Amino acid sequence: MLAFARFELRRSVRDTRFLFFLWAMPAAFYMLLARLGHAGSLQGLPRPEALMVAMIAYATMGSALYGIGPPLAQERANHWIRQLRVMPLTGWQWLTAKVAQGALLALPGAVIVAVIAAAGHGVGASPGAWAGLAVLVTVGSVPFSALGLVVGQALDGQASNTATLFLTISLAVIGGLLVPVSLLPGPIHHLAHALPSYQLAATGRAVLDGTGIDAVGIAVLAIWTLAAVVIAWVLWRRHGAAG
Amino acid sequence: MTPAVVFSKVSRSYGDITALDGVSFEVAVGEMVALLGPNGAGKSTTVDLMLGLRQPSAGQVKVLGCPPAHAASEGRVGAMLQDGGLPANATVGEVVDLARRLYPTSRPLAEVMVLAGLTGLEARRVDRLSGGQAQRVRLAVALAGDPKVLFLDEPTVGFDVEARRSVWAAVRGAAAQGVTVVFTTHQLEEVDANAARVLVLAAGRLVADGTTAQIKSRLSERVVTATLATVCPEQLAALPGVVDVDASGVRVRLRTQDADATVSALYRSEMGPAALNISGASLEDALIALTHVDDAVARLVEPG
Repeated sequence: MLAFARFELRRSVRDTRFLFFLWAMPAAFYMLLARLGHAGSLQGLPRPEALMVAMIAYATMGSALYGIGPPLAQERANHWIRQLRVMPLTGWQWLTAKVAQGALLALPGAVIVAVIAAAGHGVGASPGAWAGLAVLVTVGSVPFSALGLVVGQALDGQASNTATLFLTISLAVIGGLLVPVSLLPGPIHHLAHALPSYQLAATGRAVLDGTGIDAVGIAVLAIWTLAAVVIAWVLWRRHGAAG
Repeated sequence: MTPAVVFSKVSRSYGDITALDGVSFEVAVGEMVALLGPNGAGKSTTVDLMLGLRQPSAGQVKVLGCPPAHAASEGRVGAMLQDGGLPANATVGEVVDLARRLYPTSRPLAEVMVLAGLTGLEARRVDRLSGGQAQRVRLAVALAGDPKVLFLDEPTVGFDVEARRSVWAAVRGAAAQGVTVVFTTHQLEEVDANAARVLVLAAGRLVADGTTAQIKSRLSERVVTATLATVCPEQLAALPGVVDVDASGVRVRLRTQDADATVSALYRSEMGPAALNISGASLEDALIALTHVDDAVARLVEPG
């Protein structure tokens, strides 16, 4: 399984143009948003810090969704997945390797945002808090990687791209990564709390300012992870020859 | 000894369409078997069932005594899929090495590269290969894990004569080491040269199972070829015994169930035959008869 995970990672690292846009997007958003509006506080944190956490969450989500879903749809279409299925690789090994790949794809995008925030906008944190954020990105990428596996298996080619775009934007907007949730209309406001994107950022803010992590947030992330992993697993089992 | 492949009364349908209908056969360990039939006969379904990529609607499939997916997950099966793709952004060496590492036992990388004729291409990206080279990579992936059973679905599509020869040399090399090989192909000379045994599918049923010689001899038809002064296809088709006419040039080819009657009627006709030759049916003729003519199928399905 390790060989497979290494193989997958090496392949995705080689696609430099893809990675450039994948990782540049949250960084560009950060630089743009950090210059907009007034100084002051946002979501209980100084504005550059709150934005940094939001964009780290965005980078985590986007890298995992885009890095896993559409390439999988493509590999199903060209039947590489069919070949993989007749080799000694179990569904769980495949799933674990893909989730690890998603985590390793998510980290650099998050680090780039953090470096820009620290170097350009005076964001500081204790080594413990930085380490905590790194752990959060790694673990927090799992539900998004699993969602990517669902999209990549359920949809073909072009549809998987559009669905990933739709998911990323919806989760980012409704989850309060691009606009504060307080600005969203009432019903959507409530929906936000049920989204993994919102809870990933909320947990990130708690890690950064050292306040206690909300158990509800962890529970929401865990439920999304479990649901996405189960659906991805069922699709893998069911797909068979359609591969 | 446990057979390499067992199909017992296997059926598979997709909605209303029956792709396989009560197919039974066994392949012994070490055999080299060709699976033939026209497109739509059920070959792909048979291959998918052997690989555990699909489940039978009825009946049972076993590979080396266990369910096919189980045999595959244990690394005892190598497969070269007809439409098998290769992953983007990987080199030839990486793909072949991945296959080696996934299997519990494997051949040395250098040996696989030589077997599949890929030496010197290790660092080449698989998305930048010619069709024939990509096909060799797929063969290498199938051979890399040193499997006990090899399934090759049209392994030489897109190959030139030289490449075809080297692939079969590789496959025969594996077979000589005791590997069971089941393959499909449309190249009948490959069957004659490589398969000790042939399974013929038509419309989802197994219509013949035997050596190539047996299959040819079970066809009582003969082929009459002659050069004609004047070619009249209608008249040729009306000759006694004739079941098929190929009159695309002055050299005509007639498949007949009664060569004597056909030839004497041909000489009595106005068509002026010369350089006449009577031969046994080729494997291709046998297959056409087996898979296309309903009464011939009925006749040849009889155990014999």
